Amino acid sequence: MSDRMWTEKYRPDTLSLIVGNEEAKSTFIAWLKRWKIGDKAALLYGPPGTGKTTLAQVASKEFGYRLIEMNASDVRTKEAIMRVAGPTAIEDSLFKTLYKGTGSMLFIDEVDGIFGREDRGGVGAVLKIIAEAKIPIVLAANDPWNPRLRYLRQACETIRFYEIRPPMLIALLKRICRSEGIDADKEALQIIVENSRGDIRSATNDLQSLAEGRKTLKVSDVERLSPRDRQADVQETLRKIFLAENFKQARRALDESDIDYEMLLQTLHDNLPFKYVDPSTLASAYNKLSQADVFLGRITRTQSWSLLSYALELMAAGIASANEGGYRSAQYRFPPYKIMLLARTKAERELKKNLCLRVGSKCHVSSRVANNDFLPFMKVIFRNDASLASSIASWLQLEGEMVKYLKQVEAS
Amino acid sequence: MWVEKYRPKTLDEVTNHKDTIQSLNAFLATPKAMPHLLFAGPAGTGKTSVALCIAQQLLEKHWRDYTLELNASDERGINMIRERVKAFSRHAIGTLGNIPFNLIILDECDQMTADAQTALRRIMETNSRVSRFILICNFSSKIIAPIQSRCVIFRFAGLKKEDIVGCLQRISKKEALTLKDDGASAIVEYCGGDLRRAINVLQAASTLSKTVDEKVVLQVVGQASPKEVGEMLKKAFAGNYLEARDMLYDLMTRRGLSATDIIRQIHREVLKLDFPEKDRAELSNIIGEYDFRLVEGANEDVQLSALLAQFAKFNADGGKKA
Amino acid sequence: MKVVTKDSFRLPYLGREKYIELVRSGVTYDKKTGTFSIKDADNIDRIKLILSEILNDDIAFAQKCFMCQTRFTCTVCEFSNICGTRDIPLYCICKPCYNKPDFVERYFTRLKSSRLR
Repeated sequence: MSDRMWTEKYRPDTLSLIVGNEEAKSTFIAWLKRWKIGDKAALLYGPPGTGKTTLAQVASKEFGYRLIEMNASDVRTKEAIMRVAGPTAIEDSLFKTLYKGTGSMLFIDEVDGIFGREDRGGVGAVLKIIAEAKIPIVLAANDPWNPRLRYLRQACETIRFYEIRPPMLIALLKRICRSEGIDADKEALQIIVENSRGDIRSATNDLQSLAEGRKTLKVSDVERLSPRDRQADVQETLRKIFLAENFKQARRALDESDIDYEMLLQTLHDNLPFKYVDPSTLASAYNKLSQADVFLGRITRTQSWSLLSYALELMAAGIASANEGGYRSAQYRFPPYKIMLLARTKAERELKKNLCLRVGSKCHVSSRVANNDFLPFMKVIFRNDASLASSIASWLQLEGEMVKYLKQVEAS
Repeated sequence: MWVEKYRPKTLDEVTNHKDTIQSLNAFLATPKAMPHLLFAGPAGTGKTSVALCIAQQLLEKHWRDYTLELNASDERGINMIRERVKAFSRHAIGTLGNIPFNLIILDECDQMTADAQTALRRIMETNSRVSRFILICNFSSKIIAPIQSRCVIFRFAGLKKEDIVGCLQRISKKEALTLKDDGASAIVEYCGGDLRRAINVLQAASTLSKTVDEKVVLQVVGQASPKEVGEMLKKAFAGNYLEARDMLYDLMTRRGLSATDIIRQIHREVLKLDFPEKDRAELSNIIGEYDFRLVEGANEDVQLSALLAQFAKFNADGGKKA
Repeated sequence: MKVVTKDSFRLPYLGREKYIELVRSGVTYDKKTGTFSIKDADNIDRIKLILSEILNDDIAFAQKCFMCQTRFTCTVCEFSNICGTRDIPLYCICKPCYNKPDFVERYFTRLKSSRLR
């Protein structure tokens, strides 16, 4: 472990090092430049790790403000806010700062976390501060669409931050690698970026944990980066689930697991025959999982997430179907086989989906029918008759990748 | 694609469903009085074609501007459907001249949940002044009563073998193909009563040879080779579950077969096996149940794996295990 | 598919209702030039839907390359499957610029010199 976290070491200290969110950057600077007493506060919002806090810090420095940072978690109740920033304590230097305006800027982070049950008065107090304070106020949130924040939004100039896009994030990681003397493959950085979902902080952390102390970083080094969940945690979770002795335990283990539902179902189904050796127990357990999957299908189509509970119940019932002793293996297969295949064919699936939609719209069918009743036969056509293939391709306005997919000769 | 090239453009060109066409013609004579329509019947029997013919006949030259086609399975939820209908209705009405109303064709509406259908009914009501709906489904029993009562229902019977063969022969003639009888039979056997699928098979076959006989057809459909599915089933029935499932994964990923293809093959192969009558009935039931779940569910491989697991309860030489 | 450049695009005649919907979703109209622009990308999905209905076609927003200022769409991008902001009209890096051997240096140089209004 080195002397410090790369997220700190490489935190931008000038505006010209802040990557991504160019529009947000310039809007914020413009707001700060023309800010005068009585102006609205600024609400920076967007996914985590996209530069909201950094921008506030760097901009305050470049414009000569002293930044006072508060995290909403420090500020829990209306009383607490008033105590820290309210007008009750005249001797309070923060109060003086806020109400006399002495070249400071107030930054309240994670303002959408201010609304737990304990914070009922939170919004009101912040609004009061915004209305009365004589210094620029910057708020940051992940999701300002929480209806309780409605009044807050009205009092602010809202500035949106987006996930950092892959090419820029790769540039950022590459720069860190150069500085640390690491020769990293672009493909390896790509995998880190894919995992990070546009979050600079988590990409940097992943990079540090994988690359620190090394001279090179290759794809093989990065492949063990399991999406979201680390292998050890997952095995623990699966163990708890599969060793559950009754429905209640199984249900609890499922609820506590961090794995997303799709992945969970896949993992359970993949490992089921390893747990249940007796055919009729396997059949009955699988029957329940199949029903759980039907619920997941409905949820996806109708977005009725209240049905999720039923899906989980069925999954738990599937697991706790019978209390069997021995297991075929002590290790659980993760990621499930299908996910590994899917990861390899993710681009292909996306392509296929778009292809089906296109065929569907031109031939007046749904994409499912296109997949079942058109694609297999179009593949035959594309493989055997080039001129027909090209006229169909132009009629359907197919992209080159789609044509290639249809022409693919099957691996035998 | 021939499916589009040979799609009937007017109701007169539709070769089957004579009674239905007759009734529809009656409605078309007085367009303003046309109600909402519900077309029910198996896949590939002409429901969409008839709906499109109606659109062209009623709305004339610019019918495409006044027709909205939606698939319940592709739209993400009833809200999306509502948005699109709303937007479309507003847009189309602006320039209605002597066009009686605009047309909304909603396919696969039996895939919608009861809640979604209730919302659909309200959408139909709010828009009924300017829009007529043609709902298309496979099973009218899955359509909630309030919608059924607001529609005139037309049933599209499954096409008979002669009808399908007749159509295929007509197309073959126009495309300078020779379709042999055994080829035609093979296509019909593979496609059930689904004319659309049959035409696609014919077109694919035509790229292999100008004379389409049984061998050529098997080449086309041979992707779902009976042998592999048969092997997989044997393993499943023998209790060799893991191997059976690995074969399934292989068929789905490397060979790229669709789940529907696989389950149809499974059904065909199972019927060929020597099970006592009672077991055959139960097996058919199970397969049917999982076919349904395949459509409703989120993960086809889970459903098919689960189906294979159900087979392990049955003995390979007939009779259920204890 | 129609490609829309968020800073300036034209539309066929709109009814009053559609116009209001667009404005409410964050689009503004410049009478002098007769063009629309997206000032506020918050409701970009909604805008995409409305434009798609008006233009009766699929819509893709043009991306602008941060380095060379050319416009391109997400369909040609190798990262389109891992990008979380696909099709949202923002700055990005075009394929040619990304594949230049000294891309990283160029990017940070450009970042330094980019003017902030």
